[in-house]
Amino acid sequence: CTKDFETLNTDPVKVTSVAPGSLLAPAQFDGMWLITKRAHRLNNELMQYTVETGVLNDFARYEFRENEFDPIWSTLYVKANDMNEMYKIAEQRNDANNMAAALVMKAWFISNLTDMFGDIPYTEAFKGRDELYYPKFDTQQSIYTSILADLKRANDLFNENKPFDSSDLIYGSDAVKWKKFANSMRLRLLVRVSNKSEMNAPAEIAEMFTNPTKYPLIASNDDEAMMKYTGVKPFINLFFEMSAAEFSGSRRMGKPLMDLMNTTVDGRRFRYATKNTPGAYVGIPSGYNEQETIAFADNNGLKTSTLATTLKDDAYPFPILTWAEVNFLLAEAALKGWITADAQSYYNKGVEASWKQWKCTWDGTAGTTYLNRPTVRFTGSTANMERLISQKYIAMFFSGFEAWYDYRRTGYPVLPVGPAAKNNGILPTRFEYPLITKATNKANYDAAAARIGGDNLRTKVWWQN
Amino acid sequence: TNTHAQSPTEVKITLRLQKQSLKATLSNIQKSSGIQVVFNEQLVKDYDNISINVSNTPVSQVLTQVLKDTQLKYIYQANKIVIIGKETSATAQELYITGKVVDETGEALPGANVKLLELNRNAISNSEGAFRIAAQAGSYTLEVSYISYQTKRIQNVKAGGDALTIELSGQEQALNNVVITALGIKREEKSLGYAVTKIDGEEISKTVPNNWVNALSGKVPGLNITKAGAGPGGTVRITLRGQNSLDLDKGEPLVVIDGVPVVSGMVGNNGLSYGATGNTETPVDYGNALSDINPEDIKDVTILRGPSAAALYGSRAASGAILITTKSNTDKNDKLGVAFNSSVTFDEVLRYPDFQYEYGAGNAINTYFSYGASPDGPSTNSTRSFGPAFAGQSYYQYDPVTKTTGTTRTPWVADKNYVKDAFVTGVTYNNSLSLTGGDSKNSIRLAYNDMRNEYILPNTGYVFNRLSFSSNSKLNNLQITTRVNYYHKQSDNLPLSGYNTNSFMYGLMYRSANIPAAWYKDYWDIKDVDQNNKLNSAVDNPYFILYENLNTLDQDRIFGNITATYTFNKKMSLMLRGGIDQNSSFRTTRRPYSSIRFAVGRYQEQSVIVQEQNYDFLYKYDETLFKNIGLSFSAGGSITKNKLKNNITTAERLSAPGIYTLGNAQDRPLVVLSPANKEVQSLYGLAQFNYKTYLFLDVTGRNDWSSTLPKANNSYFYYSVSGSAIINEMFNLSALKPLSYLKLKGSISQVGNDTDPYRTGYYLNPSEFGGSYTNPTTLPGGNNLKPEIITNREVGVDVRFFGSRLGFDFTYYNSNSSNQILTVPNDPATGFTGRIFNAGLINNSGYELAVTASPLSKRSKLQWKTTLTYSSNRSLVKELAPNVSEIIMATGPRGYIKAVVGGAIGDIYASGYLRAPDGQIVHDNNGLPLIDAENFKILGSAVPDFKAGIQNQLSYGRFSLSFLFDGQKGGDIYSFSHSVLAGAGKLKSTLPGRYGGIIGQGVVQNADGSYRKNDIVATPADYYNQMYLRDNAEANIFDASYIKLREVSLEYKFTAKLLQHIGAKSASISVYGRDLLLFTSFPLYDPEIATLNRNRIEPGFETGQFPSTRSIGATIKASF
Repeated sequence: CTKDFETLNTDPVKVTSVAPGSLLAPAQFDGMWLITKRAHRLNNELMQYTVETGVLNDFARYEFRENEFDPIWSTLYVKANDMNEMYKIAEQRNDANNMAAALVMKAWFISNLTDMFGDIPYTEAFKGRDELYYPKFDTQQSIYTSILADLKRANDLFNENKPFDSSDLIYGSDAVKWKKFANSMRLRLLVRVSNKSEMNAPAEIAEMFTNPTKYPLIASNDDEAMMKYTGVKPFINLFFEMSAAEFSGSRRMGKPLMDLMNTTVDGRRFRYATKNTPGAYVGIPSGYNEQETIAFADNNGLKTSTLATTLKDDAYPFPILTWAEVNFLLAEAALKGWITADAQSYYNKGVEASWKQWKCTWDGTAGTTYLNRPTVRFTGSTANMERLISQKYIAMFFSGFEAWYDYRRTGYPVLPVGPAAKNNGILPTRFEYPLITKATNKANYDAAAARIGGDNLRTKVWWQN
Repeated sequence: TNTHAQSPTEVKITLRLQKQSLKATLSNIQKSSGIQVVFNEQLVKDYDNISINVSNTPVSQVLTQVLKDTQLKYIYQANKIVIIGKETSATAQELYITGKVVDETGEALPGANVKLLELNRNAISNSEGAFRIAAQAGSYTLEVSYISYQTKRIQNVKAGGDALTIELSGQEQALNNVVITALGIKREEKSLGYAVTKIDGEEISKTVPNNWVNALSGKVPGLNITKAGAGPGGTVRITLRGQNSLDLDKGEPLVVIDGVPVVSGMVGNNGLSYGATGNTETPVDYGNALSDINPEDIKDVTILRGPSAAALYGSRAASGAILITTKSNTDKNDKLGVAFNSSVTFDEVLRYPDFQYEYGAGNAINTYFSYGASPDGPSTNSTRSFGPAFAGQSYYQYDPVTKTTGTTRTPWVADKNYVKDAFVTGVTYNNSLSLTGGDSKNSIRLAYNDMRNEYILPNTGYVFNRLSFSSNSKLNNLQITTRVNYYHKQSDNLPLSGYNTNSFMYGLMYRSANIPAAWYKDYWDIKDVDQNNKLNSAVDNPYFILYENLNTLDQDRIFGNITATYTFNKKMSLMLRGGIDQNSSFRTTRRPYSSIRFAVGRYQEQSVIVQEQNYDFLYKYDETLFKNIGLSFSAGGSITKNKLKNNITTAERLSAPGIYTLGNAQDRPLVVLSPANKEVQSLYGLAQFNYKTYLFLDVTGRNDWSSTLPKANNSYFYYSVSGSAIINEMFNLSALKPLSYLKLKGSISQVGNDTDPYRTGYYLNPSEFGGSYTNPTTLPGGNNLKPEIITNREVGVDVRFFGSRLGFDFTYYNSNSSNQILTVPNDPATGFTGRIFNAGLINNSGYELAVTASPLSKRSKLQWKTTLTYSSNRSLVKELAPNVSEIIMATGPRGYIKAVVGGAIGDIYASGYLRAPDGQIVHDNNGLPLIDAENFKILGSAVPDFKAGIQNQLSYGRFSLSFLFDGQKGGDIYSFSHSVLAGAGKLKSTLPGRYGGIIGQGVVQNADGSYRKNDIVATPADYYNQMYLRDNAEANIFDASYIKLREVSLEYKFTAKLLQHIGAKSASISVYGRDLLLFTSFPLYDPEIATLNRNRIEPGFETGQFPSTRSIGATIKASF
């Protein structure tokens, strides 16, 4: 009489198989929120976009709890797993566009993981269903080789003439735009590993750049990968649900960003920050102790700027990969001679794209005035990496952890390290492996920690060396 | 009556009998004369055919006439007519048997009945305990009996011999105490090889607890109650003998009402007790099915403490079982009985932390205070209390009328009631009425209870109506009992608990003594649109929380069963039973516009239906094998079906303010369905053997088939063997004077356990984005999942002295829980954060002791019974999964309860001070203690070293008094409230150094890395803030030892005379108190607290729970 047990023990609400494209939306949304929320919490503190004055003020002194990095590791791996599964199902159905989309999303998640932590499980990852519970850690180089190949393959797979049935939140299943996104992602990652000659990045970049028909890139604000929230649940900017106290209440704008933008009368300031009591944009320095930080924030009663409240509007869009970024990447490629192009024009386009992305007035004289400011102008000896990355730094505000990755790669913008900073006074070069992997995958963790030269915030990842 | 008895010569009777037996004739004479006629049936049995016809004749003459043709005669002695043989001459030389009846302490027992069996003569001992019975020379047998003592027979007593001293032993009820064991089988306690505790219903209802489970506290060894402290729902978590599962959702005992298991878990709102962000909810305690049982309906409760006792109940009793027998009418007269009782109970906060009333709001002392900018300067308002001292000065403060800065300076004074005034006196009215009736074949009981609770917070509480019916009918050999209960519970508002911007206790932590509670009362700026939380804009206004953040409950529960028992003959019977427990709740939560967490409001409807059906049969067979061996055999089977529907529909944002309907949603309402259905089928058997009356052996076996396990492993068998030996009966130990009872018991048992539904198959979860899905984050158990196995061994001794006036019942147990079905954490790189897996080995061991004593003689007018319980349990983590070194069982606001191989269950891991190599606290160059937030270490344990209770019951005439102290030694708790209150300068402990500053004990690191004694004066506000940081668990974890005066009850029973006037059978009035006194070093409200988090009660952390209460009340009871 246990015949109906199997039926009885079948969940009546959930399902056992799905269409590949149905896995896309939640992975995009959750992955995006993880990166954006953690960037708000960590990247913005490390890169001195903001300085926390409340309970999290330790971050600006490079002090983190042992479980601080667990949510990043857990969420990005779980979301990458969704994309891994999506690829498998799509492959079974010969669904090229969904295969390609899965590869691009997976590359986005995995690159963030390896850029934050260095060596991570990859070839043995996502095999829980095959009872592989203790994945070994791969070198960052092998991971990059793999995801760069995936992105190249995604470019080949995307085909606007084939069906693309998905729950895509970014482009609404537009294969043409997805193709641009895939190539732009590949460009981003190639530039990231460009210090490593074995990756042959300059040549790969040149190949893409010289063959835009085969490798189209994001070429307008309209092309860029943005999470354009509708403001209708569930598709909303979740900062909306964060209390004002948590979002901006105890945070102040960082001094480097405000100073950079103030000297150039940057039109994006009001999108980024609030004004203080007398009506100025004032940031505070990072890396001081709690009391000093609170005093800086108070600014003798004049107060200081914090994050603009519009950033937490329910429909406020956040970027994944922008046209501005593509322009800055190409400007760098041109500057370094990897491609034959005018670095300044890409630099200028990058600034313009950023202003337009942030819905700031560019037309008329606004744009030209800005581009001609002495600390903005990109010509002659001022056409250098410091200026390029500093401008990119402004543009990459709330664009995940991109500014931190650039800083670790280039050392720009030059950021002061405060007197109370820990970590031997070094701005962290990576995150420590999370508690969860130490507790559940110890042997492989130990091997990886030894291989990278110690699991701490100062070890450099492969592409930095 | 005490009128002088009349003799046979005085009493005249009229009697007409034809051909009657002598026995019948004598009976008639007794009846007509009113004089007792005593005779030995053997003597009179040969005489019949007696006819007599007399009128108004003295009895003496009648007797002479009746007996004239017999060999008998009569004597009149001790007001009795005694028929004796004629050759026995009463006037002949008579000898006497004399003696004295005493108790085991040698004290005389007056009024004992001494019977000379051969002659059927009786004597009553006098006030010195002495007796005398006349008898001719010869050997006789005496039987001495006395109420509440064991009847004693003495053989070969010689008439005319020496005076005897006959010692009677007290007859302890428990010696043949009948207890209900698994499957409702009634057993003599002495035959059991495992530990049980029986608590009388009266013991539970005496102090009218809102949650009857609390009345078990201190009375049951091994029982641990963890309180949620989450409001009037009063839900508690019970464990017997410690936590034997790594999963805190498991480990609670099975609850069985009248033989039928009921649902006891809780389905909450999945609220987070702390750290909630986004659209997550804050916990509401909706009560649970166990707590809801009406204590007035409870006849008794039997607690089967370990798996051995519960083996027959199978899986769900792996952590013991609580068997509740409800009241039914046992009085089979045909009269209608009516009983009512009425009580009122007042609750107030038991104990407050030591708040300081010397300094008001602010961050520094030496400045002014100003609410908002004022002529004195910019605002210095703060949620902290490091501001100016109350010294008679005046400042620009908040004006509660204009809701802004006052226009004039007003006196800066402390309101010493600023915390107390936040609470009100809770009141609970409890009225019950019951009707009973029956005849020789049928009996019924119908009871109704109305309970109205107003909690210690305004606008919170509930109304409870409970109707219960039981009937018992006998049709020849068929007995049918029916029990039906209907409960309705309704609440307009149950408060939000824990540490969140919309919980009351959270806001309370940030108030200051310069703000009277009344200033918060005007809580709207614009009704339904904008709240007034100007006194602290980071939290919701407390009255806005209580009057607008409403959490309603409308709950209907029907449970009961029908049982038919057919008795074939004295040896065989068959029982068939069906029971159902259906609990349907409808809950709504309203969050208005301008809530901190829900700026444009929120409305949610939750519909929960929990249903359990049980069908079972039990066949019983009793046989006596050979001469002294008894065998009783039972076999049965059952089917248990569980259904759960939990549907939550949420309007996440409201279109229009103040309208709470799903139709008013801005977005498509979010629907979350969480069903769970399962079925378990079982077959089981029990064989009991006994040798004479002192050796007992039980063997049980059970096989379960569970729908939740994979096909290959869904059938599992387990067993138990238990035995007991009554040593004093085996080896007649009566020579060992004070010893009156010695029982040894032991058992070994296994219990298998299944899991929750849907844990084997791989399912994708629907996402909020319509038509899209995510892979599960936890890998299912698949086809490898096996049942859990708990193996328990226990031994015990029950020894009693002085006729059971002093008794010790000691049990030691050791159990291993292996193959636990756990969600084992994975490296998320596997794609999954956990997997469902058989893993772990937990060893639980401990001992339990119950001591009972009746220090005063039973004859004393003052009676005193005292019971002490003591228990200690240790749960050790022996193994986890391969390559898994630790499992987080609960996450606190800071730190965890982690199971680590080699560690103990309940260990609290958290961070503390940064210490120099010599162990001293390191301070920074501002003199502030440094916290080593990165390294977690064991800073305490949520499990107490031991728990103990001592109960005293005294009675004197019509008064009875009982009181119970209980408590625990050890156990630690992380107090989040303490971190906040101390860090913000609210407590007296933060007064030192307010003016001069503080030099903390410890060291400072020099530039060269060496340490010097700390010599830096720190600012108090900074110092206390840093010292009591949440991350510094070391400063916020406290010993949870306590002693409580748990219960006091004083009852007076009215005299019969008075009762006659009102026509009552019995009536009493009592006053009682619960949790009257608390002795502890714990600095917050009460160390007996845990956190209601994610639908479960997690021990070891306090996160802003409500204060515990002291209850005082009075009851009047009467029955007619």
